[in-house]
Amino acid sequence: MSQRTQENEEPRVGVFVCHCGGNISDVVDVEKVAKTISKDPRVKYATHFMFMCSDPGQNMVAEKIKELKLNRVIVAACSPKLHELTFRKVVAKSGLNPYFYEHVNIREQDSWVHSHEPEKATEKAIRLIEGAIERLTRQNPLKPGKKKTVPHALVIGGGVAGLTAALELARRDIPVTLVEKSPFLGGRVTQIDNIYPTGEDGKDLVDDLIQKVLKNDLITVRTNTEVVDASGSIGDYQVTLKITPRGVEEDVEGLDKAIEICPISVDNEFDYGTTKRKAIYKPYPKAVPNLPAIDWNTCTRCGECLKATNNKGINLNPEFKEDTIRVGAVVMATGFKPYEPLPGEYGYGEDPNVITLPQLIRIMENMDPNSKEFIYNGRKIKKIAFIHCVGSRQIEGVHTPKEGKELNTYCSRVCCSTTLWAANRLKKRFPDIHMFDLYRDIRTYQFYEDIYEEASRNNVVFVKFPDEEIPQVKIVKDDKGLFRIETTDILLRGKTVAVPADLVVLAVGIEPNPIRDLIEIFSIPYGSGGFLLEGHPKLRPVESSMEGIFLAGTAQAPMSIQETIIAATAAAGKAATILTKPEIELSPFVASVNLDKCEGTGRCVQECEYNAIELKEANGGKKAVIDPSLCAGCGACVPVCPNRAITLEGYDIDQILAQVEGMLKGVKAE
Amino acid sequence: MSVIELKPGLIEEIQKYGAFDISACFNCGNCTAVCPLSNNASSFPRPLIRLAQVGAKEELLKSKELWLCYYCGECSETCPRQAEPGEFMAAARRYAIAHYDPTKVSTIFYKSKIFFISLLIILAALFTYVGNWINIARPFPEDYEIAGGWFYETIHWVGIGLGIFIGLIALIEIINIYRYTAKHDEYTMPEDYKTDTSKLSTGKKFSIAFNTFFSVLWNEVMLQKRFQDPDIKGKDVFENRRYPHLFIFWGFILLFAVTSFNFLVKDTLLGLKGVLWPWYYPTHIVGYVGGALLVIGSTVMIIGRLKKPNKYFKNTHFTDWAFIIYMWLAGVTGFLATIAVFMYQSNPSLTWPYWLVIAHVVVVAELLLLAPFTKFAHAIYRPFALWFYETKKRYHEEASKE
Repeated sequence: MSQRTQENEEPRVGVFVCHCGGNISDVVDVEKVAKTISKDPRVKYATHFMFMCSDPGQNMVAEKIKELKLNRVIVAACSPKLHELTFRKVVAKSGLNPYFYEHVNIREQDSWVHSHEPEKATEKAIRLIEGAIERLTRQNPLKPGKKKTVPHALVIGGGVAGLTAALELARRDIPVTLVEKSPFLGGRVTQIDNIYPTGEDGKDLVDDLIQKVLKNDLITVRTNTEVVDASGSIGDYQVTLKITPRGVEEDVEGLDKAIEICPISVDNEFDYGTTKRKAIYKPYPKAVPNLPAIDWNTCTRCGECLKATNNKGINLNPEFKEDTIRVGAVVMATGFKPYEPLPGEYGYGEDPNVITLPQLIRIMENMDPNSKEFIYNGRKIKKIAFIHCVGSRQIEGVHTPKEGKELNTYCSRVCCSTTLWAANRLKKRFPDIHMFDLYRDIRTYQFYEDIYEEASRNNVVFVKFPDEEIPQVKIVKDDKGLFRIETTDILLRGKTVAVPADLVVLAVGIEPNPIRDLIEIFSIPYGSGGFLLEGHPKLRPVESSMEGIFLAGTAQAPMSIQETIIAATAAAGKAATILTKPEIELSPFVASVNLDKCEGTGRCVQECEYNAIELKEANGGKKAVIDPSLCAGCGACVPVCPNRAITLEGYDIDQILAQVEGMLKGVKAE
Repeated sequence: MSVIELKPGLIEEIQKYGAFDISACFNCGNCTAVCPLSNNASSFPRPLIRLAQVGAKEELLKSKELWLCYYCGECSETCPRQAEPGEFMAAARRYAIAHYDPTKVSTIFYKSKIFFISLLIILAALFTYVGNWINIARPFPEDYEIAGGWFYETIHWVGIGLGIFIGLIALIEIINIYRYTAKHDEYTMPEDYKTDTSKLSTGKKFSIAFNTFFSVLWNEVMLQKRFQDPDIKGKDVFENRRYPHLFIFWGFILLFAVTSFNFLVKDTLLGLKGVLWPWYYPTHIVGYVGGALLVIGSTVMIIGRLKKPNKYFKNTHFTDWAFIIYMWLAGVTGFLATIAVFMYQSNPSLTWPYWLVIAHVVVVAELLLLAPFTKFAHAIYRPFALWFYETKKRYHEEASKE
């Protein structure tokens, strides 16, 4: 249906007051509201109805627009969050500009909050509608902007989330660039050798995904690559990548030997520092890409490795390159890192037998498979104490934050199950081992309850300590054990108990990988603990409120592998909804600059949270330029401009003043 | 506040003493909610289970409360995890018996059925052989005397020896339970119940202890009133636990009294060694009554445990079986031996009475010898623990009044 030209028509307003099945009409006298409003000469029709959002309600609006040639529509009902879009569509279908519609909230902002004063509530409803009439009659027919999309996705992170998201996007025929900062794909899952419930090795699990990704022509994998800069917005980003050379350029003979003879030995991050690696290294034999990489931070370029390969395959002085790609959407799959306890936290760093849970998992994989005894640091481990909630659910005044960081107040969700899964594996392998589990609350949700059940059957002794009392780990080295941990057991009527242990395992929580630079580059909102924030926990769980950015996996919150894959799949699906369309419709409610008035003070630039405003050379001076695809229409820039050069479309100053006037019509100052 | 040292593996250790599955316990406290012993002042049995679960060995062994439980089985019935808390309490008592025992023999008894049964057989063979061997020094079987002479000497000297041995062990055990439990604060009591009892004068304390001794002796030992609790009482004769228990207790006391009287008064004081009083003499009558009580009591118990009419009878540990069966055997062989002695008197050419008497002596000797190490030991521990518990409770009550 073609849009009527409404600009030049006299405003003919229709007002529809909703009962909301009594939610409104029990308090507000809807009949009186309709009657009063109809006295306004611009109002050609005013009525009230049981449920405006119902089909009969919507049809009524459409019919009256036709019948009475209405060109402005107001529905006074619930919050615009619920049904503004519903009626905007009705209005558009009836041939009007969809922005000649105003949704007045007389439920959340009136009947629900003023249920004890029905008369005043009725008066308020009338005033709110009056204000809306004033604004709406001054409204211009807005037109949303459009923008071409680049049908290409960028996935940041080559772990299980990134791999899954890339595959899911490619499945929808969208080309993907997968960027991984480290030289190898697979992420944290490769560091877990036994995964609940199948007992599968994480390396095999991930390898399956990696092989599919590598075989897929639509996916470009770039390891050793970082995002260092980006510009643009949803639909079209220009992203600058920094590519660190691998050092090993060809699969030549003697690379194994090269690793062996490399004189540099550093803590192996793959084993969380429980083993050493060389400066030229491969985290595990089947790592992908299956070429060793050189760690430029520790390599001294001594050239020993070249001797092993007859000067072939290895380039110790390669170029660091940059590259720019254009993408339409970005999937953040940057993952997590385990919390690193503070020196001295539960004895960490004071004795090598205080380790973290990820370290224990690595130790278990690296253990001699034939060993009948658990020997660590030369000590036979007979008793193990696990301590939960290390670096999670921290409380002010009880726990110490890391320097320059806030406390991790959140629950890391997976540590309970992972701890008990490890405990059960240990018990199976070393039946004589005794285990104490010092916890605040056990959260083995869903089917993980099986793990708790089994641990309980394995006679793991659960000791519940109070939130405010941290167990005290003391190194005693007596005949009972290496450590003596004093703690309060709530279930033991609050008595203090001493737990003996040869090994203390700290069930450390999950922290997001440090991606402050990426957060700044893409202006991604983040929340508690530095995790990326979703637009809405229920309605937009995998979308950032920064449009075009999607969240996959543990960059967003602590998750299990299964949950990560679900999230990554969802994020890819959501990203695809943008990338499969040739154009993006932008919101018309954006700010624009009157270049004649603008003096380039830059105050608006500082104020804008969305990096939508830039100062550019124009009209013979520096002027503020707003990118409508980045502008969120928040209006923060409007009042800070000393020259009133900025207008928010749909909410200009005249409209707002008129709306206020309308609301206050006939009100005398007291 | 003192720190409780945890001993890993305690629960696995106690598990060897009974058929419970306390590893399934997640401390929900249903057992405590239904336990008739739980009240505002003390809670059973969860705190004790918790002690065992975490490995608070010393605290558990120090608990007088273990002996307050008479195993009504309500907790096992209600447990949502079928962890059998009632059976746990029984096992914990066995564990305690094994630990108070200075010789530690009970540790092996409780844990190994094979060892226990083989020991019973070996001891029986040994007693038979030794008894017989000593007698064989005299011409046999033509020239032996059941009621006097060599055979008499044998059983009485063996008996006295046994008596001294058991008495010594029992004494150590009493000292042990005193040492472990008497001074220890009740773990199941709330904190506010723990008043300072040091302000009570020694005289006051003594008088309380004296009073509670007799009240426990009368109520718990002689009348077994605790079994009258409606939760334990049961509906029919096989479910009833008070009367069989009372019968066995009094049967044993009567028989012990008669035996002591015969030995000390008749034989030693009156010098009537070898004289067999006619069957209707009062000593004999008391013996018949005692024997009858013992046989009836143990028979009812055996039938009850075979029929398993309710939760209480669900689990019977093999050492418990041995104890009841030996009680029954002691009673039955006692009657047979008495008949045998009279038959022998009327016809000294008979040889079978000799073997019947030997059988009785062997059964009784084994029963007594094993008393400090098996279920029988509860006859020592339970009354003392109850006495200490009552005394301590009264101390607190008195102290809070002052």
